[in-house]
Amino acid sequence: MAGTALNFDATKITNNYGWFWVGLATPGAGSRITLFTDGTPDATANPSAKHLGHTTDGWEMTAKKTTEDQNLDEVVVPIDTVITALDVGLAANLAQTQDVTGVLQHLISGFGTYSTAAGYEQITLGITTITYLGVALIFPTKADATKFMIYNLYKAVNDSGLANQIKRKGLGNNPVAFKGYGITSRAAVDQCGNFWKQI
Amino acid sequence: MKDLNDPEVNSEFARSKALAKEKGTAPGIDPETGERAAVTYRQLYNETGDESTAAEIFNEVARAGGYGNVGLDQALDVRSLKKSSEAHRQSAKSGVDFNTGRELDKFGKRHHEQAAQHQDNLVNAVGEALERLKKG
Repeated sequence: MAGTALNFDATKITNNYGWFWVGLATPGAGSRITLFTDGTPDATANPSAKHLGHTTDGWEMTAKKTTEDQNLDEVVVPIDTVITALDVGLAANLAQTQDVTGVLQHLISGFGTYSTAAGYEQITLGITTITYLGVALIFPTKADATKFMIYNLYKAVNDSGLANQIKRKGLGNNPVAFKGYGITSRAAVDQCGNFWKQI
Repeated sequence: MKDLNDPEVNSEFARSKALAKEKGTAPGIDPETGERAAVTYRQLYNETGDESTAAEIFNEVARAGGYGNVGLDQALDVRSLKKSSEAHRQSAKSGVDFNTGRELDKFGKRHHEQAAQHQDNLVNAVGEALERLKKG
């Protein structure tokens, strides 16, 4: 008789930072975004990709479903449940808050318009069209730094606006929360994004 | 001073961008092979000179490749389909699942062969949709 193996594995614990990219291309059905061997997006397949730079505390990925239990009068516990919503997001406190072109212009979809000319770069505030971005958080695995894990949202927008702190003590930062939306005509299991690990 | 931790300065991504700029390659076109790796509405407009034709081709590629109704301001990663097909074919050939690293039985190999065929069909469908560019 043999026992059952335990699953303690210190090589599967995350202890590194990730790179967050916006402006990524959408992968085709059954596919994943194209990366180089160093974990950066393939620049040809992702011609508009931009890295959002430093954060104060790293990134947090969330995927949370909301359910509605179904009950019968004769039974005191729920007999089934259905999913009524799925909220997927990637959040961080961005540190490079003085980078209008490289960072801030990607956070203002729906209420800000970026422009630049000789001597200045600016964001004008006012209602405008919401434009969505493909985004991804990419980080190396602990067991093999040449392999990466990827959280990719196909259609996302920063849902937390601008909240840019300007201060002398501590790091000025801007909290962001990229919320994932569904692309309706993709396969139902793959409408919002994917999470994958290279092996 | 260059930040060595900045992937937009020190990475394959940055080097590829620089090469495309040096060679004057259009966005989405591989500067070394000339292969079309991504489709953007902007580039299609640059090639066709017509908004509605560019939008039609973009939407046709999106439908053909199973990308879904992606907005015109986003890009379509064409290379991803080919890579996925190659990964499935490699799994079927080597007998090792690229998703799990586990050995495949006959059923598993057949699954990957079929998946590779399916991805090939998508690659061909995207190619056909892009043929319109050559026809003008």
